[in-house]
Amino acid sequence: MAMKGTLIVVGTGLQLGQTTISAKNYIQNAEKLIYLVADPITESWLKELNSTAESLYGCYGEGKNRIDSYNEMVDKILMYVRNGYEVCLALYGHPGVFVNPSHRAIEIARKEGYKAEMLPGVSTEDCLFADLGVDPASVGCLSYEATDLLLRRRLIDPRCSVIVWQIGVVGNLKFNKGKSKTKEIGVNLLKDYLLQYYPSEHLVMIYEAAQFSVLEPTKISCKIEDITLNKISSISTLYIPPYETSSMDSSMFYDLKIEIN
Amino acid sequence: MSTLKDFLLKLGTDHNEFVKFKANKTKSMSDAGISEKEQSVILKGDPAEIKRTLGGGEGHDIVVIVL
Repeated sequence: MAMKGTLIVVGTGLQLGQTTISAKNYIQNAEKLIYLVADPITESWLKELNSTAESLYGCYGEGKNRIDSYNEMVDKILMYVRNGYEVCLALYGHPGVFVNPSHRAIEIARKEGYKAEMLPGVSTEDCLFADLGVDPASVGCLSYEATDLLLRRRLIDPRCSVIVWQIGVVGNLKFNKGKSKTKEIGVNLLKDYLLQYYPSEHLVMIYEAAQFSVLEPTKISCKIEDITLNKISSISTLYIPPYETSSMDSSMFYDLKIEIN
Repeated sequence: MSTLKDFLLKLGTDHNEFVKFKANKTKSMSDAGISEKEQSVILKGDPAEIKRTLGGGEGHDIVVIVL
């Protein structure tokens, strides 16, 4: 039998209006709402929907390692679950994409016998597909976090679309309020890495989803060689269209019994 | 007189208000009582400046790295 106390993790999307109906229902009806969002409008909305709303933002600290902040967040979330509350955790974007505390809290809660679930939300990548008109199914799509791409020397296939997340905080593992920005060296190392796969004049897009309904998304088109720090913010994402086309394996048509008319 | 925060909240939750804003931004903001200074911030379209204008203490500078 599941223990009393539940955890439902939902996403609020990138701007107010991108929360699913199901997520909104959980937000409204939770006995305890915990949240971490990126704009004050969504924060006000959450507080209107549920008077128990409590921010996790206090877990961050200037110059503090993010992993320590995430551990504090998980402890706080689980404290309410263990005390028997129906908890809803509402997070900016998709609650399972580039989020550490949501996955960890669910994993621990389940191990301890509590019911814990995640609902899908709207991520930056979803907005990018819509705003840039990219279909990940057409040529395939690779998606990497910028620091991870460099540290682990992830392989890039220039025949696919490539999305590089968090190019604005390359190598920055600490929280710095209002100035979580990459250093120039991070941008240069990223460019050098990409130039192993692409010509310097290959056109890419520096993208930011709109954070408010009154804004348009930011799209800066430039050559890889022209990517500079002043074009990037802490929430920028890099979209790299394919440079080469993929040929098809004709023998696979035969093996798959695909007929070409 | 509406505050900028109330106005943006309304646009995010009321589709008719959002449609009115898209059709005529300046009129929509003037009708809502948004000051000229705040209107210029919205029309400029800089999210960081909008956040500064909204205030509210927290930096809302959330970046998550999973390594």
